[in-house]
Amino acid sequence: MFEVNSIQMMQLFSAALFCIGFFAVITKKNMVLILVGIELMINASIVNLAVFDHLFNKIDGQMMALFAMVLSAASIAVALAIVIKAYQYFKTVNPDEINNLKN
Amino acid sequence: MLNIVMYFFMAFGVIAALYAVNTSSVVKAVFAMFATFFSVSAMLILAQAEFLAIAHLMIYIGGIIVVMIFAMMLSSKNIIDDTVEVEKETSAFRFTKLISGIASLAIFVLLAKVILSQNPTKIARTDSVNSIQQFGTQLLSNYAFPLEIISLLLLVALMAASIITRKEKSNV
Repeated sequence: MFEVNSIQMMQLFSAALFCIGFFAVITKKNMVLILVGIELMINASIVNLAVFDHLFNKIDGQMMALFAMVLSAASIAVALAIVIKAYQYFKTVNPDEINNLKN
Repeated sequence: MLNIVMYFFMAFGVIAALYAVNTSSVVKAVFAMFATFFSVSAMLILAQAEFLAIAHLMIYIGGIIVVMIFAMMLSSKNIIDDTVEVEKETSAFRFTKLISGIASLAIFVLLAKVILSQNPTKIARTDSVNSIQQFGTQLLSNYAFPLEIISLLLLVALMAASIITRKEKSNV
């Protein structure tokens, strides 16, 4: 179905998404936007797993991608709960300003 | 023809992701991420992972985006106002942003160099088994234990999320 070039293009797409997510994670000063960056990186890994699965014609990569998806959903649920609680407590969503564990 | 569709969705996804990380409004970022997830789902269909694509559409667009929007809109009125990023355009911040941009661009160049130096040869599909059928069979035979563990973990995580955000009674 695909020639070699398409697989490389999809890998490049995945690499681009990963780098954009990485940029968001290290520059953003808002916890929700950092979560957006983490989601972009997880999506890049999912695309990569599916592409290599397609390349080697196996089903294991898709299985791994499914588990990664579920783990990402679980992590985003807990992380958003923590963000909301931290906002109620510290009145800020900037992770640079949240620097004490107590009080 | 298929290549044109693929390039379209790739450009769509990358542009939406760039918009999501460059806008300062959280709501705009989440809606741009919606577009990125859609194009990722299209990529999964083009990689012949149909079940994965549908699961991705349901989990991300039907689940995670809705959870993110609801969490911001239902929790408090001014969390939306406060989550608009106040970027103090100091020179130190701009310098940090420049360095981060160069670093992530360098990672992309490195990855692209590795990807383009390979010459992957596609293994021809020998069996005519349906991908979804194979997926279901594997999920209930070889991967039954990981499936149970992951479902338990999802249950625990969702319970934890609802317990963390619960309003505490003042004196009990």
